[in-house]
Amino acid sequence: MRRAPRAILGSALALAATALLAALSRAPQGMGSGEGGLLRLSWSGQPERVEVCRTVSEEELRAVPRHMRQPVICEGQSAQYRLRVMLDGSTLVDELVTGGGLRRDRPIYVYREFPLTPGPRALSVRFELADEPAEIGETAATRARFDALPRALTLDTTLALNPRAVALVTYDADRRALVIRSR
Amino acid sequence: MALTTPLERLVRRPLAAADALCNRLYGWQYNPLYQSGTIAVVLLIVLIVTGIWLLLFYRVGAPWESVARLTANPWIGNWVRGLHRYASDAALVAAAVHALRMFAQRRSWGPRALAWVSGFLLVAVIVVCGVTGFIMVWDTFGHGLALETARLLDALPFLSEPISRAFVGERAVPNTFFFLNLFAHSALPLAVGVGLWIHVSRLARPSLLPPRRLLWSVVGLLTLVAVVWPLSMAPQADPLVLPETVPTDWFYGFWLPISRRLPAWIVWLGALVALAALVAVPALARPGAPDRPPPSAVDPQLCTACNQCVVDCPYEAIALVPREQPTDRSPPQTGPRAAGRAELVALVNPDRCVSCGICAGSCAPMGVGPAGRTARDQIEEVLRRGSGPVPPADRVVVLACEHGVAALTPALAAAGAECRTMACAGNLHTSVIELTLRAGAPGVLILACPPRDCWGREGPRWLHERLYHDREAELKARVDRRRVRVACAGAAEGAEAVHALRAFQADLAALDRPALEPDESLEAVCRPAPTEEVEVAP
Repeated sequence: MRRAPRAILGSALALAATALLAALSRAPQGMGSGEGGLLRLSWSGQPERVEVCRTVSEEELRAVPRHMRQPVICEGQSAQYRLRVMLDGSTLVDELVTGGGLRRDRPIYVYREFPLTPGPRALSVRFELADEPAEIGETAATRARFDALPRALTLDTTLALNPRAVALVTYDADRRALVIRSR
Repeated sequence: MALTTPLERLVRRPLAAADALCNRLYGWQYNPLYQSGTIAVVLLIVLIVTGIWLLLFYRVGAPWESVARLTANPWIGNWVRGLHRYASDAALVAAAVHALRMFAQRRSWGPRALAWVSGFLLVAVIVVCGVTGFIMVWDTFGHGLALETARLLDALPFLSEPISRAFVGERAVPNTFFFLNLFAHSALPLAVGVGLWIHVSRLARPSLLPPRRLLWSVVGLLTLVAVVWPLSMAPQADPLVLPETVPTDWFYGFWLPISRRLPAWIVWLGALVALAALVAVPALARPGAPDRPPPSAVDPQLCTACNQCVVDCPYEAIALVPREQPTDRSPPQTGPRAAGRAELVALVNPDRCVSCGICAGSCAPMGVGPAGRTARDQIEEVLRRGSGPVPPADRVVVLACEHGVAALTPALAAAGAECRTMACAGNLHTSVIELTLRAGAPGVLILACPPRDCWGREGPRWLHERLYHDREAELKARVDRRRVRVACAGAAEGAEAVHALRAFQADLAALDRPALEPDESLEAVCRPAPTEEVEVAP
């Protein structure tokens, strides 16, 4: 091949390859969600502590060294919560939620997503303490952390979801209530 | 046969065709496919330089806004950002081509396994670095990358809370996240530097940069596209909106459409299987024991410790070590050089030897090389051929590299050559050339691989030096250089190889042609000059 055509062909090939590279670095990717939206539940918080406490007798106290004498001994765990989500009367979720970690004493969290079609939908979210009050120890109320999640969180609303919008249900710590955010 | 052989063959053919096309258009010196590894290094340098510039304008507190401001500025920002982006994409492409070449040429096993594995770790680090770079922009693509990466990480059992929640709109993404992301994006290039050092650590004289003309062509082309086709900003990430389409960089986001549709554990499983398969390539590509080429060995009786094989070895596999001193119980030294022997002797480290045989071509006393391919073995082969039927005097002997044009020997034979193969052009001892000519061959044509595509890295280079620049184990001055020629041709360049052969045959024919046409008499051409009697002074 002669030199000039070879140079032209070579330059053209190099330019085409670079243009292809540039095109592939910005080519649109369809997300495949159509007009559908999303219901997203996302919050976390410190679960209420469930403890059973007892007062130690004088004899028991005398049996241990002085520096180990505690008048009240409490044993317990973080509370479990029940999450119920209903959409237009049908149940989306009904499950127990426990704290993370081996001892389940880490913050409790909810993170779930459900595809939704746009339009008005009746939504009901319940997040309530699952343990029976009887199981809660005598000092539970006094020892409960002040920033723990409330014993019951509820949200009943009618969703008017726009196409490709996300309805986020989350916990507002200031209002101590579930709130919904959307575009 | 290795387990990967069928796959290698499958890749080798289109690769050879692409090589031939690029050689035709750019010449082998500037063939970007041969230079894919060095081009990747150049692009990493471009990334660092442009990245430092872009860093000056990035704000952790307002990531999208700061990048948008930069993108709106055509003088200082937009084209630099475009160059940064395209260079990162091109670096991945170059690395992929480089890996494909090494795989197809079976340059991944044995001593090269370290380079293979470290190469893939390098690519993995570059991909992670690229992903953090796209997240820095915090547009819809960056948000998608962050969400999907977080989803995959959440599936691992060591996180007590899903990190995905940081990106779902529950609260604003904290500045600390962008700071950490920026830190990772800036620190990972250091890991790339270390990885690159490991990658080439077993090579002597590693080539890190392509020829200058190619270097500036690559940078210039990317800059040109960055200027002519500037990048635009994708919409800012909004966790409460599902975008219909997302402008995607497919080099770094190719996995997103697949990953999104699959459970996280399947994605992890797929990634682990793919990674394991890639890392296992050196083991799979390793030929079985009977087919495995032996490492070089030194004959201490012949070694003069001249250091040439140590210098020429492209893999630093040979070193000079103190020679074992003979003891009273040692057998008597009977070699030709037993007296006055050097105190040092060459020693081959078999763990680093790829059996290219270049040392055999470098050793004047012929004391080193892989079994069966030492200079002595090569000479024996020539002598053995010489004892058979003598080739017609007009048949040029072609010595073809078995990694390159060896498959084209039928075409060369049809063009009137006697073809022999060799392991590497650098393996060829110059004495073989001299002996072949003395055996009656009119010429010797050595068909080597293009120097940047040599299986043994430096075979054609050292051969050229030994033929024309008196490098040790040089072709003796008494050999007529006009009857020796070196040409380069790739595996799919049959036409070029035949063309080189025909040109050489024509030149040899001109050499052998008498200076005058037979029907012209000397008297007719050289008319006698008129003579005069001249008086000579006493």
